[in-house]
Amino acid sequence: MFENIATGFELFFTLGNILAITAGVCLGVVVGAIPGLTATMAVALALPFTFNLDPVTGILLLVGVYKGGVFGGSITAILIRAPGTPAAACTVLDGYPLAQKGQAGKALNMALYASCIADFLSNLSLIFFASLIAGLALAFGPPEYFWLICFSLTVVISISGSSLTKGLISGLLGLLTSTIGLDLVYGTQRFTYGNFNLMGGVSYIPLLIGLFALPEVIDFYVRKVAPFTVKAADRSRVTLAEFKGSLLSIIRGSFIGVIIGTIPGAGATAAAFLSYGEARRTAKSPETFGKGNVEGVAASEAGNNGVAGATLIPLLALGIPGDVVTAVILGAFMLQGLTPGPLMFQDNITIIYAIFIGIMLSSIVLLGSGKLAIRYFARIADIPRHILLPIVLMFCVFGSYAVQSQMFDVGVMLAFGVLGFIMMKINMAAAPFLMGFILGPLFEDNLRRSFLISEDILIFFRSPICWIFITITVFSLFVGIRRELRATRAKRDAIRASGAS
Amino acid sequence: MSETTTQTNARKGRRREILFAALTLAASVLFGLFVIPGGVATPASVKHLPLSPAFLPYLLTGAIGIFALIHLLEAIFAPHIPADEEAGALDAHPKWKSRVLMLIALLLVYLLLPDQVGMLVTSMVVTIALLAMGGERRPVILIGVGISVPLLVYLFFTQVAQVPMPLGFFEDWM
Repeated sequence: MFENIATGFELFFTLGNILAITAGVCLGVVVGAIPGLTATMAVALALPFTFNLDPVTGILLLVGVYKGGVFGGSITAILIRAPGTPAAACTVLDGYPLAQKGQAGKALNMALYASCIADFLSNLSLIFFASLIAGLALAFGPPEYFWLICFSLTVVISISGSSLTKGLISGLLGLLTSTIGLDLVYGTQRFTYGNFNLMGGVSYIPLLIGLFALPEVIDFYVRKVAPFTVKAADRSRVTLAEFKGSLLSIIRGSFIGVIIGTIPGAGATAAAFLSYGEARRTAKSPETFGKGNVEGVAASEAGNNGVAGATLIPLLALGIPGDVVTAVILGAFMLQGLTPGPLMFQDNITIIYAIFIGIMLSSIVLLGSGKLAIRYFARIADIPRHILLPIVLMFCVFGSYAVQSQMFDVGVMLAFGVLGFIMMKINMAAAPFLMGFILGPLFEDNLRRSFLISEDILIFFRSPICWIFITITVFSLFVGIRRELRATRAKRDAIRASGAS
Repeated sequence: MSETTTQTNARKGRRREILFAALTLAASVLFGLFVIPGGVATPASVKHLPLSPAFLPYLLTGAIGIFALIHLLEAIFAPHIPADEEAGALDAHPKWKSRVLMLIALLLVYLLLPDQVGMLVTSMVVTIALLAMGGERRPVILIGVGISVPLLVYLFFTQVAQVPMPLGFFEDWM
């Protein structure tokens, strides 16, 4: 093993590899920060550049782009409430309120630290537990997935905002919206009304951009004065006490990200929301979440970056891509004449180790390039809002169009922007809607596939994994609802008391 | 805030919540009775209820209806809790109606014009209009930002990100 590691080191330490990973991370951060341009798109764009590179250099370039892209999404999420990537949607919840308070620097730095730590832990998991975790992921069938999604959906309780019932309605509306399109089993149409553009369902990116970024733009023009001045050139930094206070959430979020990332298809967005929900559930003052709690930023960023290294586990260990990005990376491996999977660990172990070393380095590069990006990107928030918001709207339109090169997607973005604005006005949280929309197809697909397998409801209780997820789902529901009801009761008591006095 | 203002706000807030819950409840009933039967094609060969394409929409609509009913009862019988946003809400712009109409018009321009005049020209027009609407009067900023930023963003998307943008009638010239 040590011989292989030494050869891996030798193979990795070339100027080309170090430049590739640095360039990849920097490119990823920039592209990830632009709403509409996702990490997937950045990796796909970088793919042609790997054709003439060494296998290790090419793969490291793509991995760097991927990791940079995941972090980059948080920058605009914090500064202008426009998540650069879907996974950064959860960072909006506390990141943007912090920016509104003039503490964008603190939010951005915490996002970076949490991202780097989570990325590092995720990489360690990839290196040491790849085969073990990959085996666990293989034990997941449709019923296990179904319960995992049910557990993930319980997070809606934590992100419901001021009203639990409204939050639940918002989540259910998101789930309902996800049913639009062709039916997964029978191929019949659902709510498409013959519209070809809706056959594949409502596009994910335009919905995300519309729901989060556009309401801010609309609100600015409807209000008498700009309600908040976001100041990024503040001197707010993460204090040692804040960092220590968030460390547990970062570590927990990282491992949530690792577990979710290992399971193909579960995704970084779900990991971010789960990590956020857990941080809020265990916090001493959960009521501060959603109003600019730096721990909320740390938890969500740890969740989504924890996924980044872990998605490579099923890819490298089993040859199974966990998401679209890893599918593109799988393509890059194949273009280089390498086939990820168990055989690769026998035939190309030195390449594997060289990639592992490069991936470990990517966390450090991410810290450096992230610091640099924060310094320059943070200036965005110093732009007066009447100049900034028309540019934000332009990015929303360009970003939505870029997804499928269709004006229909711009329409989807505008429609969900109006919906998001209405939700903002009636104090209905938009985050549960997004969570429901993302998890909806997985929820339904696994529910129905389970029934197709056995036609018996007992299939949902077939394995210990099912029972583990049933238990934690029930526990999470119980604790979450009890906490929300207690908080509501306390508020009502306070109102009654103030009315009586 | 005086006691009377607080009570008036609470009354308004309660009314708003009742209206929201009642409308959601009505919408869920209409959705269940008309939209799902009309919008979801269910094959006759479906053996089990959960396998039906209409199963989840009905389940979700029912759940929305139930939560709307709970919210309605809560709004009627329990004291109203003002949301944080409600308490700190700023007044609407004095000309908010005309501004909303202008904004809708500009959003429609973004939706309908790119296929005719191209994405670049459309974004320049809308950006300049929004800058003016936001109160910018300096011609250098209006023209400078309104032309240079859309041009740079357009070039980034088309040349770097390789995303083809609509050119409109410029397509024939190029």
